[in-house]
Amino acid sequence: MRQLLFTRGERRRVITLCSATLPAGAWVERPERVLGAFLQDLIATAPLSTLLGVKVFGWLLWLCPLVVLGRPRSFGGLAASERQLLLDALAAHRIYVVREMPLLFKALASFALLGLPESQARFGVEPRDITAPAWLDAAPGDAP
Amino acid sequence: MTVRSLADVRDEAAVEDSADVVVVGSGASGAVVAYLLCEAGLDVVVLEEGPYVRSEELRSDMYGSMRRMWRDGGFQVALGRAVTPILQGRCVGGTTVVNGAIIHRLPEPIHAAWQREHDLGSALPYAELMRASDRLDELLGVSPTPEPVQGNNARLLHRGLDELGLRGNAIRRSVIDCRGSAHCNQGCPTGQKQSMLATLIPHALERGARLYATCRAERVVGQSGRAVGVRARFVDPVTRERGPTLRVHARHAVVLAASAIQTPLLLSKSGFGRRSGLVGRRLQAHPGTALVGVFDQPVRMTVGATQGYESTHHWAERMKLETVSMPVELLAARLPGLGHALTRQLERHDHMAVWGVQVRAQAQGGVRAGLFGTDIRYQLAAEDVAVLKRGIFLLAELLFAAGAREVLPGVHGLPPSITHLDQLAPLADLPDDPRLVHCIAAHLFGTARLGSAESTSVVSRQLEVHDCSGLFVADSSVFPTNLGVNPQHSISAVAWLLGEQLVERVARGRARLARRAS
Ligand SMILES: Cc1cc2nc3c(=O)[nH]c(=O)nc-3n(C[C@H](O)[C@H](O)[C@H](O)COP(=O)(O)OP(=O)(O)OC[C@H]3O[C@@H](n4cnc5c(N)ncnc54)[C@H](O)[C@@H]3O)c2cc1C
Ligand code: SF4
Repeated sequence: MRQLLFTRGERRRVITLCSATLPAGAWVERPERVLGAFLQDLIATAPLSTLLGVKVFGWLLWLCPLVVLGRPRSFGGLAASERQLLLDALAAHRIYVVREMPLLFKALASFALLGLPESQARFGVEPRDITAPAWLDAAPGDAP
Repeated sequence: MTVRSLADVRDEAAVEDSADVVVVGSGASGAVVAYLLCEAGLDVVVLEEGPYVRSEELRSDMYGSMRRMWRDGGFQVALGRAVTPILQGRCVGGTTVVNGAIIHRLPEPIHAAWQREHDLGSALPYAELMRASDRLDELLGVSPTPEPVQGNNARLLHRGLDELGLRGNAIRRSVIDCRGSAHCNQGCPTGQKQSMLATLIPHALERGARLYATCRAERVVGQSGRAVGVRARFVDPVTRERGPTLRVHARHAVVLAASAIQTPLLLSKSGFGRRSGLVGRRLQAHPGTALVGVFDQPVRMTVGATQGYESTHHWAERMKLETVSMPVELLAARLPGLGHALTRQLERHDHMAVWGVQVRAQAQGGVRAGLFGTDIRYQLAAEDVAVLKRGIFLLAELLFAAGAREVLPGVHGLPPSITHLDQLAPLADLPDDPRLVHCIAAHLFGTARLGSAESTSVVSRQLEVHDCSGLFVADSSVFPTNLGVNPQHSISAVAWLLGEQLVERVARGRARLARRAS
């Protein structure tokens, strides 16, 4: 039932936003798959208020290039360099809620990706886990 | 040893039990009460909302630990002008399973202030609390963190404090033979941390306690102004799968030890303690923030005690400093930069030290049941932000004194990275606004405070809810104020005195019944 809270499109957007805040493609094979599984687990387990925050912030961030950069595009339509510019502008914004938006996705991406053995290896975290986290093993399906 | 969880009762329509005393919560307060009652030969049932997780099941990934053993998967927050994460454990052993195991005793000036200004009277005598702390020290293997496992994060703070001529010490912790894995917040994987899961809960179980895990107390059942039991339900806290109900009859008492957030909610739901209007009000905390220092030589925060060194030098100025070795998942959220800039920061994580300042804040908030779950309101007062700013400045000064080449202050309105203390000077001119920095709060107090009068307190000086005999509160909800030091040991000491009082009370009740029968 809870899985219905996020449409496929919304999930894809959250995954794109997370990937932009922590681009892990260089050391995690298919990070979108991990983020998809993470999001699925988050939707099943996190408090509704958190999910509401992810949903609302996801939409706002997706649609804000028009307001912040004056570009009639969604976040998904921006080039990588423009995405970076936008995220940096938001993170330094004078309005508290605006600065919190990218930070939420950065925190989610960190939880999803940095506990993986591949990430521990990439950043030299010792001692290292041998197996993937249990929540990732248990998550069914593929990235949306 | 009897531990029953949802998996064991799934097929039953309902579960019933009865005990001399029912304890709700198995953390720093509940485990102590259960232990003492069982030692005295009483029949005890413990209800715990979270799962029973064995050490060998623990892993190092932070999210995996949080979703399983932390309340709301670690996403519980308080709302105010800023959002403040409110961190709590939710598993057998309570927050002691995921905390830093730092041990401090109740500061004497705080106890004196409680007597002088907060209607404590002659209850909870200081000498008795210290006697309880002595016993707890023995049971939990409390000792200063040995130098070899302190880790470089701790050694650097030590150096910085020495350079500035400030007092500091190796942290006293409830740990035996620490292996320095810096995993305390994920749960100690080798069982070195003497959490309640590893110590008093097993003791109580060996002496006959029955523990129901993944079992959420929903309401205290009262009859003619007396607590006679608890109604609960088995619920998987992660998947939310609902199982059967549990009804436990309490022959002598019900003890709420569910924390300063959950206890007032249970009281309100059960309709007790409401006359003062203070249930869930006057929430106090020790909000804290952390600074990152970057050193030329490797720090390797992942090696050493999670928290090894501290300074109470500025306690009278309402702040305490300590080392906080974070797993890289948490560190990332604290680092500046997004995208590839974040990756570049992470590449040098091994050269980073993280130290925190926690504030004995004056702010008061509240907790109540809300539409989407628990509704916590909390907002730092301007005075608290001023203290926090002084703490940030001090931490930066210490980091530089210890040899940091760069400090990442994490303050909105300042550069993300500074190389000289002068660059922090504008901090003084920034407004005392809680939105300047990211704070968390993990030490919580005061939501069902004690006192002599029903109009100004929720529980009596004997910790019994004013309008419900036989219903007691053992956790830090009853504390009149915050402490300025890590609270686990103070909470356990207060619970200890309550446990002893209950043993006597049950003995008196039994003697009375025996006299009547004869
Ligand atoms: C990350 C972190 C680090 C910390 N580090 C330290 C430290 O190093 N030193 C220190 O002194 N303090 C530390 N603390 C704080 C300290 O651990 C807590 O203050 C203390 O454990 C609180 O004790 P308690 O008994 O009130 O609650 P808890 O220990 O949280 O136990 C309450 C238990 O009750 C259960 N419960 C709640 N509601 C219900 C219900 N309705 N039915 C059944 N069960 C219920 C909860 O699941 C929980 O397990 C830390 C806290 C955190 C979050
Ligand atoms: S530092 Fe590691 S070994 Fe030591 S108590 Fe914490 S988790 Fe256990």
